[in-house]
Amino acid sequence: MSVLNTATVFTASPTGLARMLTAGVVGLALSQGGTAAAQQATVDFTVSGNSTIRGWTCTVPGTAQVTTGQSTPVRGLEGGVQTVTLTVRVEDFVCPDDEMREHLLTAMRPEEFPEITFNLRDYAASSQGASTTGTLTILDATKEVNFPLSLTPSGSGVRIEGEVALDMTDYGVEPPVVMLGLMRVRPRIRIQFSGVIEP
Amino acid sequence: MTKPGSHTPHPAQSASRRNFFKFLAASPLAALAYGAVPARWLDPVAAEVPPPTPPPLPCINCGAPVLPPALSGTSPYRAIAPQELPPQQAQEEQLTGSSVTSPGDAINVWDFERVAHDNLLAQHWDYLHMGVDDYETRVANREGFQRLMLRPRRLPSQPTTGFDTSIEILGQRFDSPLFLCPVAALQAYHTQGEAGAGRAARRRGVLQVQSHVSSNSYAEIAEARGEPHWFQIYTTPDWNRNQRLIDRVASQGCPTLVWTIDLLGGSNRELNRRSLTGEGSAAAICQSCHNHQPGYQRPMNRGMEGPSGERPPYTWDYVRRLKDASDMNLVLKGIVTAEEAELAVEHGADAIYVSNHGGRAVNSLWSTIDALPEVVAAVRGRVPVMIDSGVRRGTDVYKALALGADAVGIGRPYVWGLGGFGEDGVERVIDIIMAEFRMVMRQTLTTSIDQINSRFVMEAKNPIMTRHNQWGFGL
Repeated sequence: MSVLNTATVFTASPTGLARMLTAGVVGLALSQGGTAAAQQATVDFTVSGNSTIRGWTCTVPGTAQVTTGQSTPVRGLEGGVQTVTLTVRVEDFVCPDDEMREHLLTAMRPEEFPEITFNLRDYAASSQGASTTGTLTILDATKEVNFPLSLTPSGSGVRIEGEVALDMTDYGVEPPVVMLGLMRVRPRIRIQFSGVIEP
Repeated sequence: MTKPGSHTPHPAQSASRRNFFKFLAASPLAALAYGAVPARWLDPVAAEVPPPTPPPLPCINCGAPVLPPALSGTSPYRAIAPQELPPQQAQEEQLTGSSVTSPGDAINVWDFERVAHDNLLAQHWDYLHMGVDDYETRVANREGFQRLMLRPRRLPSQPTTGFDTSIEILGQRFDSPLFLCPVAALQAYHTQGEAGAGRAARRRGVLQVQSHVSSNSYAEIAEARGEPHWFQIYTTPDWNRNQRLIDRVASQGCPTLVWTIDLLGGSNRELNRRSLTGEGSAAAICQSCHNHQPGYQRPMNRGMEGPSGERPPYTWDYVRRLKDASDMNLVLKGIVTAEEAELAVEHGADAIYVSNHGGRAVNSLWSTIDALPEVVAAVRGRVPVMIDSGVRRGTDVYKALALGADAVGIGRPYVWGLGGFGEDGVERVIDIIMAEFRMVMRQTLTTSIDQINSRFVMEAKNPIMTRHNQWGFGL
């Protein structure tokens, strides 16, 4: 496990741009950083969960900003990684219907908390990618999470993929309750992301 | 010949003291008496006895199993050391399914059944789970597969090369003999609906048959899937309406029409009536849902209005009429007898689909795997034979292929996966069943579908139903 300095790269939206939410930032920095080169890519996020009625899935496009440099090599990024920033605007969430999206935005309160951030503190490289640890901030709550991050060569770039499960109530997000309580969103959700980082 | 009363030893009587102590060592209750047994008696057998499964002793707070004092950590006998006992929860979950939180954690399709049960609206679960009358046909479907035993092979005469699970049916090639059966209204289980299932099926090279009463339209599913799929139709008395629907799916590239004929006589769906208090979709709980707002029509019924036409009776001539209504292949779904298989082929069916609607049509107690051999015999290879109802394991797929099926459908299992995790759940269900299936192929030294035949199965006298059934799980 490499011990890294936290380097949050946070692309906070101006408050004036209400209803814009950055849904994930991954910061990855080495204690012994080297020459850095920033790369950016589009990353697709999928958020899935269940309710007392049925399962649901919403999607949102985001970006990955990766700073490579001298560090522990990981698959696909042999030069190592200094920082990785995944950024998503929650305003861009696409849900199966408008009503569901409205409930999501109500729960996420984007006017107050336009962004969610994930700051990666540690990673351990393996043949499959990296096991990562960091902090995820949703609304005004920050929690540590661990999940595997897959980095695989893809064309001229590197595909970055990951999945993390969490309980939204841990972050103070109230699961939507609609139809007089008939439909309650369950607090456990899965967030998956996938994208290709081009050099 | 041995006569009664002879000295031929009964197996139990021939048990040596050594075997007796092996039995004793394996008996957790008897283990209570270990403290009174000389250690030297048990030492020789301790190494041979597998770790015993602890009995379901009362547990405090349902945490770690409470063990008899003799099974405490101070026990000198390695074979019964507590750290080697299998966890009680794993045994329970193996029989009832585990409520996994990620599709990758599922070990078999029953885990998805548990997740779907835990998550879905009770009425949705009931609709999916129900059988007719007292579920005898649902049970028979499982028992039918479990009554068939495998006849594996151990060593090949020549090294085996290659491994191919692909099939060709009605001019289309798929990576797997598995297919997704038509199941109604998949958005009742997940917002991704049939489109999500279609994406998963496409990624795994699996055929998908859309239900007439789907939540997504044919075009939506085909777009998600990236290629045309098959369409199942419930005909209405008005022929013109049927023709309009047939024209619609044919114009969108559908290659094959599947006509379901096993519900023409109705079905006694008591759980559905209880669940919706006899009001059907007019119940308040359904009216609260957008799917049943006034004027709502399922996608494949929208835009079907038009002048009425003839109302031809449902006879065998109707098969020919449907066949002539388009250039699509026509499959008859619901055939379970040799007589009707013969008639279906005579009247132009391009394939026979052996089905009892997952035990939700006629309470016949006639499992589809039991019906399959006579249907295959009657068809005599003239058209492909498909089968569904009760398929839960890769062994079931193998057994159906061994008895002559060309493709094997799953219904509830993929809907459990969809309900729990959307398309990822569907994909995982397919992966699990196909992994099980490939293992059976290896166990029988078969490397392609055409090598699988009836010599690899035999019938047992009694079904072996081992799964926990208190809530109807495991069917």
